[in-house]
Formats: sequence, structure tokens, C-alpha cells
Amino acid sequence: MDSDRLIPKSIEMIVSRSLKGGGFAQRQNGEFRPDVTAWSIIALTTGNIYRDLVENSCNRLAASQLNDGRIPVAEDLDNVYWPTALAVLAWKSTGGFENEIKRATKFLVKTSGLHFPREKDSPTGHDTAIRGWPWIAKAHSWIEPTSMAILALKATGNAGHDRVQEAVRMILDRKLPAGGWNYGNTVVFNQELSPTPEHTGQALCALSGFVHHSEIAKSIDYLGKEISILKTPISLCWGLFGLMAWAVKIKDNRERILNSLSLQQRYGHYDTSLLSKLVIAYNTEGNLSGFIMPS
Amino acid sequence: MGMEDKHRVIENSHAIWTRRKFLKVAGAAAVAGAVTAAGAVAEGIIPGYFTGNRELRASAFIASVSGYNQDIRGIILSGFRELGIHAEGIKGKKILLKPNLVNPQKHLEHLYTHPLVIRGAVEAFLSMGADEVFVAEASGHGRDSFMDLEESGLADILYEDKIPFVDLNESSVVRAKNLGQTSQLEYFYFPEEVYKADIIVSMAKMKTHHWAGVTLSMKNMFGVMPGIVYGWPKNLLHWAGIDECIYDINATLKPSLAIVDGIVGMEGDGPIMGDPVRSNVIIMGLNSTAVDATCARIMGIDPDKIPYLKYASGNIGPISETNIEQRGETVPGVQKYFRLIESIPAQKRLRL
Repeated sequence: MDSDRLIPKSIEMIVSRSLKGGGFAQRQNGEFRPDVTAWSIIALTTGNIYRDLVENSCNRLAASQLNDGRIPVAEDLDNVYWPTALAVLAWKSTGGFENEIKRATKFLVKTSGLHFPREKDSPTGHDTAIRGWPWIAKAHSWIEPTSMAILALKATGNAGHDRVQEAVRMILDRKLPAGGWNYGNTVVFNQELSPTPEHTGQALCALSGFVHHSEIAKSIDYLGKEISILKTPISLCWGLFGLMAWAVKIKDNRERILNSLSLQQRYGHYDTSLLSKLVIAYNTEGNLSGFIMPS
Repeated sequence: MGMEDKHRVIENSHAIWTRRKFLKVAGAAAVAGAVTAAGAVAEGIIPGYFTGNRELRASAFIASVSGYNQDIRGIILSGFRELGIHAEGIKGKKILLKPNLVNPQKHLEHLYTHPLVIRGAVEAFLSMGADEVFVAEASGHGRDSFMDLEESGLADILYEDKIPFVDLNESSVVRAKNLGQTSQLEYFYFPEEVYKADIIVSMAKMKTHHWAGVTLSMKNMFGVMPGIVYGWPKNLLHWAGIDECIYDINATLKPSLAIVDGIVGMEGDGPIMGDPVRSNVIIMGLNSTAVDATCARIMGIDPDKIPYLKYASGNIGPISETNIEQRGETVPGVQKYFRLIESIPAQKRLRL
């Protein structure tokens, strides 16, 4: 496909997966997904296009919010509430929805994963007592949901909240000794695990503005080296988002995003959330943090 | 919310080779918004299994394979013959191949089901008249499935052979009652693709595991559980009990066939940080419990000491040698003791 057409085509594909009642599906003929809807809203907002569709989708997100402020991943899966932070970011990106944002942030600050003092002979290396956010109720906290909750709370003016400060400590505690992050385990049975670009980018976005560069220098080095070979959408986008959150400029980032889009010839059509992340990365030149939290 | 939002509900199921029936039932359940019992009867290629035969005897086929450059398609076809799998059981069917792709890294072939084993299975099923074969996985440690495909080398095979791949982490989900009932989980949420497939094949890697003792065809089914419901990692299943969930998932889903890549396996601190071990075998069978028990014996591990196999024993399959008919090679003929780490509780005192 002509590379000039890749971004418009991607937007067409995202829009083709919008639903009658507002919101977006992950795949053609799929059902409403709040997380996918949030990424699609942000993507379309970065281009300032399809405003009616964006507004309908924001309303659909609002309709899926439960009384206590959470946004579950699907109807009758109330305990799977990780999309809540993403919904906040989507609403913040468009403006409005203050009441919904307030309820969602209230839910986030009163919710945490399962935490407990680290046992002396624990096989895992991290401090299990420091609270972050889980994917699902009654489970431990991990890097992605904690990073997204920090971003959401930061975007809503809650950067100074105790829960955010504690979550920043949690993420630093989960940093791998050699730099970078994975899903959230550092050492298991005395073996240091490996980082991933995806989680390192998320953690770097979350920590921006909270910690000194020296605390994440090795992680930036790791991601800076990896980024040159990344081509799959999730790793590439989070790699760019994470580095740009620390003002590390990447050469040819738009060309690399287009190359990633062209890999659909190899992998088949991308899911909506992948297309959305790539469109966001393209339109913001990797500066997701700057877009949702303009200085 | 409209009907498009409802995920499908399956309250009970017993079919092995008739999963498309479930979809029809599931669709009806979604429309009606009601609880539905499927209760389909197994009509497959292994008469007696899951149809009231409490003796739970099964066969496991062991092939000696010197390397990934061998004729793996031919080996798998030999396995089909030995296990009594005929073309009429496969013709026109939709086959889901579930590999182990946890944290693959380029050229570390002890980490993942080797792509050439997957290619061999695809070719074998297609040569027997399968209508469609696809690969599906829900990566456990991150969302980037395409990177996992690239790192494992599977992306090249899928592209060259035009084999579809489905990221199960992002699929629509179907709720199913937990038929194992050893964990406290009342329901599981499975990707809808597992119900669209007629035949689910667990294409596992032969490894030791630091939480479960071993990871073979039954633990491999953790990898169908969708991340959008269970997270990355699938921590809820760990809190609910890894051994219990391994059993419950298999008792509920009942994969149709197991193929374990033990050509190069992993010993020590598996499933990620262990060392390669060359055992030069492929193990196959229609009963996952019997296959895993056989793999354990080949690894020098007593299946009676693996908690999830104890749950499975007598309920969904046999683990005693007397109830497993070994086809192909014998266990002693291919046995290769995998290194265990005594300081890891799940690997302590597992030796035969």
C-alpha cells in the first residue's frame, strides 16, 4: 500500500469498527470494548477529526460507567476494571465529562491490588506491600494498570495524591536491576528477569515528572537501544511514548510507524487498539504524555 | 447496552469434537440472555472417553526425533495412526493449534514450541482433510503477540504457509461454568475461538516449571485464557491456585489432542529461565492427562507427585502406567532426566 495512504486507511479502519450506539469494537463485527473505545477516542482526537463520533463514543464510555466510578471491560465483568484509567485519559483528551472523571478518579484512589508484607523467604524480589493497581479485583498490582492509573491521576490534577506517590515507589521497586521493566516481576528464585519495551515505555511515561533522570537512566538506555529494532505496533508505540516522555527524540519515527502499519501485509489486519496507538504515535510524534497532559 | 455487548454464556459442556454446536447454543444463550446447558455428546475418534467410561484408559504415542529438521509431518501422521485418529475424524474440521510461546527470544529454542513442529502439525491436519488450521495464543506476559511470533520464528512460518493467527487475549469471551470445581472460581471466560474450533490441539513444550513442577500440555492451556479478563500476567489464576486452575481449565475445555515438543526441552528454572535439554522426543495423545504423565516419566519425574495430575487422575484421565498404553517408543527407551532444583518448592522431591 502507498505509505501516504496508510494513516488515512488506518483511520478509516478504526471508524469502520465504530458501533451504532457509540464506542468501538476491537475487531470487525465485534462488541463494545471500553479500552478500545478510549484508545480510538484519543487517536481521532489527535487528528481533531470525526468529532461527532468521538462525542458519541465518550457518551458510550460514560454509559458503561458503574455507580462507583469504575468502567469494567464488559458487562457483568464488574471486577475487571482496568479500563477505568483509560476512560479517564480519553475524556481528558476531549474535554468535558467532569462528573464522570471525578467518579472514576474517586474509584481509582480507593482501589488497589492485593498487597501484603514481603515474606522473608519469598521467591520474588519485589516489595509486595507497596500498592499499585491490578488488572482485576483480588489480584496483585502490575506495571501496566499501575502506569495507566498514574497517568490518569496525573492528568486529573492528582499527581500529589498519596496513592500516586506510593504507586511511583511501586514502579521504581519493580525496576529491573539492569534497567527497564517487564510486566512486574524483577527476580524470581534468584534469577533476574528480562525487560520488555512495552512495559518499559509504560513505566517511563508514568514516572515522567516524578523522578530524577538518574533513577531511570539505565532504563532509557535499554529502550533507546531497543527502539532501533522495534517494528511491532505495541512495542514500537510504547517505546516511542516512553522515550518521548523523557524528551528523547527518535529519528524517523513517522517512517517507522508507517513501516509498522505496512506489516499488516504480514500479520493481517490490526486490531483497533493497535491502529489507534499507531495513529496517536504518528500524530503526536510519539508524545502521548504531552498530548494528554499539555504543559 | 445493546445485544452486541453481551458475551456469550455456556453453562455446561461435554463435547470434544463438536464445538461448533456450542457456538449455536451459545448464540442462543446470548440472544435469550439465559443460562443454557449444551450437554452435547462426544462423537469423536476415541470412543468411551468422556462418555461414562470410568476406567479412564488412554494411549500415548512417543516418537524419537533427532532434530527439528526431521520429517515432523510424517511423525505426527504416524502418531495419528497409532492413536487411531482417522481422516473421517478430521475431514472438514476447523483445527485450533495452541503453542507455548511464553517469552520467546530469538534462537532460544528451548523456550517455545518450535515453529517446525507447528508446521508439521498444520501439514498433517491438512493432509487428513482438515477444512482450516489456525494458530491461537494468549501471551501471558505482555500484549505484543506479534513480537512473540517474530522472536520464536513462528511469524515466518505462518506467513510462508498462509496460516492464520488469532491473538486470544483480545477476543470476545464466552463464559463457561467451571466443570473442574477444585478452585474457587465459579466460571471461566474463554475466547470465543475455542468454541468455534472443532478440535483444540495443545502443542506444548516439555519443560520444568517453578510453580507447577512441570509445564506440559495441560499447563499450556493457561495460554488460552484471555488477558483482557485475567490480565498480564494471569494473576487471578495464580491466586485461585495454579494446580487447581490447570485442572479446572482442562476439565472445562477438554482439549482434543496433545502434541508435546520435547525435541529440545527446558530443565531447571522453567518455564523461562531454565536451560536447554535435548530429549529428542515428540509425545502425542488424545488424553492430555495421559500425555503429561508420560512426559513426566520421560523427564524422570513421578506424575503422582505433580499436584495438577493428581487432580486429573481418575477424573479426566489416567496417570498410572497400567492405564496408559504406550505406543511407539517406550518410556525407558527415551528417558532423559530433567534437572530439578530442590530449593524450588514445586520441584522438590519429584523424582521417580
